[in-house]
Amino acid sequence: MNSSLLKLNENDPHLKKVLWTGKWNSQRAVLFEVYETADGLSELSFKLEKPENLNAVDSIKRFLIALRLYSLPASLLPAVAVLLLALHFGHSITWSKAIVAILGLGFLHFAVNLYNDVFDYLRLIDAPGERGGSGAILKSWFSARNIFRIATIFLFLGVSCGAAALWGQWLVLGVIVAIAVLAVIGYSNRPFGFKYRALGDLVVFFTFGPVLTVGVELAARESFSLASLLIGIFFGLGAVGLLHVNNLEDIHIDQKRGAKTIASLLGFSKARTFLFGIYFLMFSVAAIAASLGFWPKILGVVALVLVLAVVPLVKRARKASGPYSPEMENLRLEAAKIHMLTGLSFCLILGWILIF
Amino acid sequence: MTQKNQLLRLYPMVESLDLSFEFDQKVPELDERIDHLLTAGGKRLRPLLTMIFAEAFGAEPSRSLSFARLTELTHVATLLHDDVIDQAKMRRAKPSLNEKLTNTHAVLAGDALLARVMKEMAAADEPLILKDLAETLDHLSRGEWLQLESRFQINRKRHQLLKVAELKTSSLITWCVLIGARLARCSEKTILLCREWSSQFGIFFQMIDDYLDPIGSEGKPAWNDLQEGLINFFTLEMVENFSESKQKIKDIWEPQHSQDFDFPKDQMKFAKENLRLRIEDRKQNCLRILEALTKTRDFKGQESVASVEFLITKLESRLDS
Repeated sequence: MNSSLLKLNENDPHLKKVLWTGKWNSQRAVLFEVYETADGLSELSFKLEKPENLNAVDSIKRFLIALRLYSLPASLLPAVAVLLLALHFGHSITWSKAIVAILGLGFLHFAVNLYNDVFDYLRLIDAPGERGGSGAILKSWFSARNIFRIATIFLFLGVSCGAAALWGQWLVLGVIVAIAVLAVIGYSNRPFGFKYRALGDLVVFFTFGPVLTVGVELAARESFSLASLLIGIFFGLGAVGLLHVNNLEDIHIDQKRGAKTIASLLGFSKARTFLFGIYFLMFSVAAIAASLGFWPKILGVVALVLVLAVVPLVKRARKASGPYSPEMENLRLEAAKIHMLTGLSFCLILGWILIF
Repeated sequence: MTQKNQLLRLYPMVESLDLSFEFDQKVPELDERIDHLLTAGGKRLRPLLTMIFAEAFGAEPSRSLSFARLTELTHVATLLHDDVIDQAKMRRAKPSLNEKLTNTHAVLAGDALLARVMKEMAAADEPLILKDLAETLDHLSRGEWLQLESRFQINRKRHQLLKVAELKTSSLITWCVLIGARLARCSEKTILLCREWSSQFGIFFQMIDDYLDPIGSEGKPAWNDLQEGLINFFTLEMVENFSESKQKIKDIWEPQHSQDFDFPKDQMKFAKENLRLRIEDRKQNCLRILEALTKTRDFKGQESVASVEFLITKLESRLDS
């Protein structure tokens, strides 16, 4: 056999170092199995292998997987939508600041993705063979240490862009940067660990919703409108829906690992109802915003049509007997589709109105 | 006494277990079928585990033996139901009862066996063992349910397979091991360790079974699980690591597709190596927990350690068969 086993329990003084560096005596230590003993201790098995010789192309591919590029539209589309909405209402925009703000948003999004991978791995929330994260650390493509360092660089870049975009609006800059840093670092890191304290939904709602849209509008035109706040609430709820579906699928794992999410606290059945409630609220916000004239009417119509995209998700979730049910298989993709589809539709429609 | 001799001393006791019983209401067709099933062989692993652990905790042998008999009856009853759910055609190298007669017959035979077990359990006046059995049957049903829902689902995750193995395989083993501990009135700490050992041993046992699935064992055809639409610990290694194998399995599950199980050799080798390492991992867990058990004040038979170690080695040797 080319590989061997290393077994360490959570009290072992070497464990932190192995998890952090992904190495044991110059061999690659790939986390293989995690199980809980009768004493409530976590016991970890690592597969020890020779280090890999990767070419540059493969390394870049793996890095892009670690960044979770596919999740980027969740923050970028609402930002673009709010700028288009501002243009629609005839506001002038400082494009350089808007672009820098969106760039910063992207960096912060990458930072939170990477930090999340690191801390979910170190806390053993992401264990081998389970869903969650990019899997880049679990597969030992990168060490937790290296991902942490890259995440910190992205955080620095994100904050720098945010500061440049909001330069001169000192109070706004202070508040937005404080919220962003707290959300990025505190989402999964100690001492806050919002996502393990059933606060993940709230943090995601604000950061991918109102804080994001209002922040971008403030950067772009040094003012904000109720329309952008409502757009923020709309997309924030979509992001919460996506997170909640993830948590719904992982309900057993989170309960087992003591990670509190709204889904794990409510239990499968109630959490499912909560999910339907989120989407109901999301589309109600769109209907109200459009009917009261805060948004162009056409956005309300688009939102109502997009309700159809939620139907398959609701049908599957209703049919599911539990988180392991086949109906739950990749339900998160349905939720991601809804978020992506709403973002794209809003941007395209607003762009179309502006052009024609 | 050597490990082997120690186990050989216990084995004749379980091998010669009298599994026959009298029914209050005779239905000769059913009684004969059940009799035939009970004498059809099998490894008698579960009664053996009951005897080993009962001896380890100093339980009275004659009492343990009567419960050991019930573990085998329960096991056979669950196999009858399992074959219906899996639509299995063979059992212990012979046509299964559902294949020979119908699913309904097999379900009824399983029910009759379980009813008999319940009757004898009630007469034994050991409420905790009865409670453990009820828990086991509950877990078995839940495990079967989860497995049923997972059929033809390619994206199974390791934790889901482990959950099914714990519910389906480990649960009955847990009951067998706990019998000795309950009869000897062991402490809660010992009971917890027994549960942990059984959980690990059940997964170890299941992984060995899955390792042998590609070549077929105990009368089962090669790639039996895959043919039944199930991802097991072996195929999981391939699905998790190779998209080519994943696609091939999806193709195999297509209704009109030919059943070509010719997976790339390097991928098979990788899967074998990885699973072997996982089996070794579970074995080490079993031995570590066993050591912890020997340190409890309830553990009285040091020679039982040798039996367990030999049993583990013997099961592991199937991998090289």
